[in-house]
Amino acid sequence: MLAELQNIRKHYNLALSDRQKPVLDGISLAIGENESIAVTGPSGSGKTTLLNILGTLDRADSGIVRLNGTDLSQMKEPELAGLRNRFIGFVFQLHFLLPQLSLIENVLLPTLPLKDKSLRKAGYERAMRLIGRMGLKDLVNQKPGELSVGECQRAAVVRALVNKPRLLLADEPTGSLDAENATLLGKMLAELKQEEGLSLVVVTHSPELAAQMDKTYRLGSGKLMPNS
Amino acid sequence: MSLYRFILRDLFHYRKAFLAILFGTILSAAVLTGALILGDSVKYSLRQITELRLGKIRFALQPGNRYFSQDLAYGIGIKTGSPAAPAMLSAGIAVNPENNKRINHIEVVGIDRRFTSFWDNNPSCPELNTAVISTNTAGKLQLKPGDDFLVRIPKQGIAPGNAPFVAEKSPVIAIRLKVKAIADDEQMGRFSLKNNQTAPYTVFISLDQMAGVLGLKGKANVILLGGDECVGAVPTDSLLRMVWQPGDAGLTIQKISKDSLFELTSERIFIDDPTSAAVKSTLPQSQPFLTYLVNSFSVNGRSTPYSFITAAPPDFLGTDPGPDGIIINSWLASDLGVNKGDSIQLKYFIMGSGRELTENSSTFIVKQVRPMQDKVWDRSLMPDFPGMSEAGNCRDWETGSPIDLKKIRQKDEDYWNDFKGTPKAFISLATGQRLWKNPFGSLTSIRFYASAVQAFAAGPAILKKLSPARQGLTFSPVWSLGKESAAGSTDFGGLFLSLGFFIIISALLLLALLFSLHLQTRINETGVLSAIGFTKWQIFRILFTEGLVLAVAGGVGGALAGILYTRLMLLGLNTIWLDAVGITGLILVIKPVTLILGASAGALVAIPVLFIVLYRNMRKPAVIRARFGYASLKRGRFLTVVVLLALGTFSIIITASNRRTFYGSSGDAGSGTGGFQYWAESSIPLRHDPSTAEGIKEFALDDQPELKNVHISAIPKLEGDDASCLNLNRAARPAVLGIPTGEFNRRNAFSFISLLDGIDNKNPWLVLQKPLGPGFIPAFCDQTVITWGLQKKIGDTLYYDAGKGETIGLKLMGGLDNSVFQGYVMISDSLFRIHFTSVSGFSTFLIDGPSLKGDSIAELLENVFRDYGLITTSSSARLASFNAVENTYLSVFTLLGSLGVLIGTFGLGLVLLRNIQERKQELALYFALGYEKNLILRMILAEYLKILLAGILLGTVSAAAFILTSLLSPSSHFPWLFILLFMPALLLNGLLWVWLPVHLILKRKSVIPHPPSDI
Repeated sequence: MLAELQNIRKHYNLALSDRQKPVLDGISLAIGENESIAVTGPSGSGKTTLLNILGTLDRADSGIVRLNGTDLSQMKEPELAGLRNRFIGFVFQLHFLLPQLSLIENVLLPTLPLKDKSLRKAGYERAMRLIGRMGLKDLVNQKPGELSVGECQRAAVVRALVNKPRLLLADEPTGSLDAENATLLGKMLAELKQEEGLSLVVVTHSPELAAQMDKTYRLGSGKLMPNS
Repeated sequence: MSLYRFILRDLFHYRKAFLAILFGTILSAAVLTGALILGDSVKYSLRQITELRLGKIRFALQPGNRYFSQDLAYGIGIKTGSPAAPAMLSAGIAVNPENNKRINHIEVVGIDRRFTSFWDNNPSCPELNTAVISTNTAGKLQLKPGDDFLVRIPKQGIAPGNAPFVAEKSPVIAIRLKVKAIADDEQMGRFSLKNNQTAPYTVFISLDQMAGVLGLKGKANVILLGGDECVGAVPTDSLLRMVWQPGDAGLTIQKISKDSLFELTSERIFIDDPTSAAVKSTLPQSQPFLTYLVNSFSVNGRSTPYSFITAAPPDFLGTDPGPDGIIINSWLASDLGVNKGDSIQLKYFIMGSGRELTENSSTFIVKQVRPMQDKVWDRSLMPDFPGMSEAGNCRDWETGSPIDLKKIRQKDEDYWNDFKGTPKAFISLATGQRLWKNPFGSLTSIRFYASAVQAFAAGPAILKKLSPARQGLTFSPVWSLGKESAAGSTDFGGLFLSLGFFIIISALLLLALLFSLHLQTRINETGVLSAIGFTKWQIFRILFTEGLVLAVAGGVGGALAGILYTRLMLLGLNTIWLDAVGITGLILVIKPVTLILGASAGALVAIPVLFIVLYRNMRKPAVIRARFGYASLKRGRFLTVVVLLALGTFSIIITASNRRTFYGSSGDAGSGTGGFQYWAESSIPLRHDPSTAEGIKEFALDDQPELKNVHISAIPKLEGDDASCLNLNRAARPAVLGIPTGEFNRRNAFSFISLLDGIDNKNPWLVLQKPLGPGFIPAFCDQTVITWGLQKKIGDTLYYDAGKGETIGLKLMGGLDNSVFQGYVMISDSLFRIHFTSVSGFSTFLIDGPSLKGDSIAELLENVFRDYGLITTSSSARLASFNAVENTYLSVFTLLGSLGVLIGTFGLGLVLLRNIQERKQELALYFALGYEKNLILRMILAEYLKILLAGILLGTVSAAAFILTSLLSPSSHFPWLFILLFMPALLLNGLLWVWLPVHLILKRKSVIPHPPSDI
């Protein structure tokens, strides 16, 4: 298994109250090599929280997270950051491209923490290839403010892939796009999964996007259930 | 792309936000730098004043009440190769008879061309009957060149004013002078040997004229030694030994008979003990004499008044009269009808420390009656008492002690006519010295037989055995001391740093708020960086580097803004805050090193703030945040603003109410006035204590019935530096007062802040009465003076030259609460008289009495002691003048604190602006529900006003509780006007910053609900 969640529990403290709201209630999930999974569910069901825990951005209250067979619970923050940098790619609902940087600079952002210069150089070459693949070649020096939302989201996908991750996590990647762009992005993600040998976890409300994944789960009441 | 490029991109992209953050850094750096520049400026100004005061003068020889030959300056100049000028310094009074304008405290300086050469700008030199006056003197007396005016100076003799039998008929001499020129600050107009930034009122007159009118032709009491910028070593005692002459030590050797008999006398009448010893050692065969004036010789109701008696050695008399024996002349034996073996009673005055006279008596047995033809009856044995020697008859004597003219018979006049001051009796030298030795010496002449050559050589031989320093002839490095005092002056840098502390705190809190708000706008960016594999440390490093750039840029900008801030502060100090410095014309000095220091300090205080804010932000989980966690952040922000407002309001009210006043308490003995209603100072010391019988008679106080119940405590003063808060220079040698400790103890006068362990705190003043051991005496001082003026603590010792080359240590035994004595060191009057014999008379007075009403007594006293330049001030007013300094600092603090609070309200505005942006969805909802804009505005304003009012009310109520007692006191002088102006200003300013963000947001045409974020 490339990634595995076992019995994950997570709660939030309710604002202005002493009470706690359970979000994830003993969730388990296994993601195989080059496998794509869609997680659907109503707003507030904990989809993003699930993705953040899987992507090591957040920690579960209990349960085990394994990536490539390694239990992450004992890993320190710098090690997790290295894992996110080399092993995981993120795509969010909003592209979150940094407005101060050009498209290419945004895309190359994940190469900054790399200490090995050859890897950085390889990252640049890969970035340029992926930019071409995503139809953004003429826009490399544009700032996010000068791009369409679809272009930005595609650039965000390139940014997620620039360090050649093995697991791509996408949080409502088409949520801010129109239907045409959403379809295009969904298609591209599926193709990239095949081309790059990625495993893909997509959190989405979109049945169309979910349908393009190998498996679909539904998150509700803190439980993850396979979609029949 | 490198990290640095990334940071540069950030800095450029967020430049507007960063500019706002820079404001906080610039503000704190400006206050820090401004304080440092201000410190430099005040120090530089004081150094400039030292240069103006002294011109090219580097050393001064100023031996108290001693005079020496003007030629000594010439000799010193030759030996040192430096320009030297003799001068005569005296306190005085100046009057413009045309308009009756008067200055009671002036410095009269007798000078010649040698003195004016110390200044570059070719100052005019006074000639006979003309004067050069300082600009401030000209201004106060409204004099211009060509005008006439009067100067009064005390008639000083060479003999110490408080030595027995020294008297002057008129203690004050008036000189009519024409103004020759007005000397500005660059032209010696600021000349003073005292370390004080305040320019004295100075009148320069011809040295020859001044010496002439005082009867001291060819004499001077100051030698000023010049030099270039590179100050050499202090002229040493050995250098002075090479050039001084017997006359400079006040000694005269003259032949008094044809048989080679020479006599050594002192111009100071009494020959001091070191000189006596030096003569004895040089001339072992010499014969010492002590001649004294007795009030009467009496036997069985018969009495001979006012006669001289000499204590002489046996080899002169040819016999030793023994301890109780007396040898009388035949005239006295005849007058009293006594023979050998009879007893004679002598009555004589002993002069006390305040010239008070005690009549003592001793009884002797007549051992011999010698005829008038006996050569021992020598009229030259009578010393040259001023006022007596030149008198034509006994009734013209001016002895400095009361003479009952009725007692003088014709036969006494005949004796005076025939024999002048020939002594009528001899006693043994030892007995005479036991009875009449005084602080000035125990001999009046020393005789020796010698050839003319031997006699000529005797003077230098004696001088070789004397130390000029022991005669008070010591050069003081006035230039370097002045520079040191200026350098060690009140630390205005530190002072204004404390005064601007609230602005710095406000600016830093604002910086924290703005940086925190900025980080929150970038929360998703840090989330993305985290998601793509940046470690927290890497993100921290990026953001902190940006913060560092801001801190450094803010420091540099603040350093430059600090120049403007200093200009404003100097403008204040030269105008409305003049009381804090006492001088106008403070010069702005900007040193590159100060700017660098200010910029660095500005950056260094900002960096920890940025670090803490960033650290707190980075502690939160690295997720893309939308909603969770904001509520607590908001609470933190609002709490910061409320606390800032509350603290600011509290500080301002407390500071404003803390201004010192003394209304209603000035009559309390325990207060800073000691219960005395008036403080008075005379320019010319009063020779007698006005509370003694001699004083009452001397000043005809019996003629003033209004003064009958007025009590005057006369206090002798050793001149020195003003160590009060009115003097910005560090006082090297504060003036010393001789305090009537017994009286103060009886009155329980004044209060103490600190006393050394072991001192009886019920009778603290009595500790001053006992010396602490050889060379050390106890002293008190205002605690303020100890801490700030002297920069010492109780238990420390101040060292003074006691005038005979001896150093006396004044150990600080306690510190008084703020009192009228601020600026002085106090010792007991009895120890004062023992150790500071060079001081004669009284120039400081504390006055009270049951009948004191209004200022009429003050006016009357000033009139009675007009010739002495008495200035009477109410004790409360004197305290108020010291408090004015403190109150001025409080005013500065209040103003700067108010600015700090205003910055706090600006911070409130920013927080609200941020908060209202976060509530855009809520506002959109109100719109959607049909609320009008004005209604929404009112709703939100009401909500935010609570925060503003909470802060202000919290501060006000806390402050009111703190000062409630003093508010209820009838003597309270709470600054209602200031508070009444400040509070509405604070509220209005707060309202502006509350209204502005709400108005700005609501003014926008569309308020679109933001899509809710998922979790």
